[in-house]
Amino acid sequence: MSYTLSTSGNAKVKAGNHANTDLTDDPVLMSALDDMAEGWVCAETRRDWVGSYSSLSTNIKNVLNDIVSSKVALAVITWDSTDYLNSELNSILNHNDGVVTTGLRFLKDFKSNEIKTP
Amino acid sequence: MVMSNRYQNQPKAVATYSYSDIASGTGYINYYGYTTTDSVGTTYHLTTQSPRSSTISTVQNSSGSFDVDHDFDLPSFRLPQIVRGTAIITGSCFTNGTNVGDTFHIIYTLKRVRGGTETTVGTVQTETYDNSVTTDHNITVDMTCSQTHFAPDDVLRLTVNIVCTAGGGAAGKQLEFGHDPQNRDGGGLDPSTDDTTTILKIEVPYRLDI
Repeated sequence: MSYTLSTSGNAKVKAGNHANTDLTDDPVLMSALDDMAEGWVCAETRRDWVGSYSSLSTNIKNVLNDIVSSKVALAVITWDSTDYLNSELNSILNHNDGVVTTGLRFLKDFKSNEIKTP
Repeated sequence: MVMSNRYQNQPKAVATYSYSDIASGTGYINYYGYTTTDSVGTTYHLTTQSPRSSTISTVQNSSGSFDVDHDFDLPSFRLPQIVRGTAIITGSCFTNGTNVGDTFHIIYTLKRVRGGTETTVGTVQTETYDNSVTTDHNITVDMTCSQTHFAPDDVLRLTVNIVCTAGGGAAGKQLEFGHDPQNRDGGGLDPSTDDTTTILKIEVPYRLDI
């Protein structure tokens, strides 16, 4: 299941330049965080995005990637935020929180699972 | 997409900044070089305070060329910081050579030390001074610092590298540089009577986190 919707590299980018590398370089812990994030995205939207991933369009895959990587990034930052400056920390937390909140709201209201051709 | 504003750190203290610092986005902190001496030996440090240095100055005596380093370390940071801008270094040296052609210069290097690994933040070399006369040399240089992040437990280090070149023979050479925040008289550097100082000061630019 791990890394179906996103990658650890994307989560590292979302966590910013000063994320604790003890965690981001640990494949076991990062994989566990990714599993949890993917589980929550499926649970909150009540859709099995992981199971039906291969049939999704690229745009939806990108949205899922954005949400999951931001959720993992929030967990990474929460684990150790000592290297961040205050203003930097607020900015990164709020950006990722905005991605997760907006993205989940969009997916919950998304009826057809696909984006229509204009 | 609207950016969330859920996370807002409340300041733990009320800080006041000067307008010029806010305008430039940079705040300077002055550090002074000093030494401590214990049963192990003499150690070089940086501080914002003004202690009486264990040794007022360091004297290098040699019959030929020499190239010596002294690392002045600040205690490790407790909060993250970013150094960026132009650092200003002031100090003095006293020479007591005799051979025409002897010269010296100093290379100041600001470093970040993380887990024993040094990263250069900035470096500057003074002009070349005549080391063949008995006189004081007052030094002021500025150093461009590349933007460098300091995490908690990182150390800020000022390395003073003195390079003395024997161009006129192998007779005795003496070079003294001061590092006493109290500006007391050294062996050759005598601020009480001469236009010189034994204070080694570096003004380090930090990016304001506001």
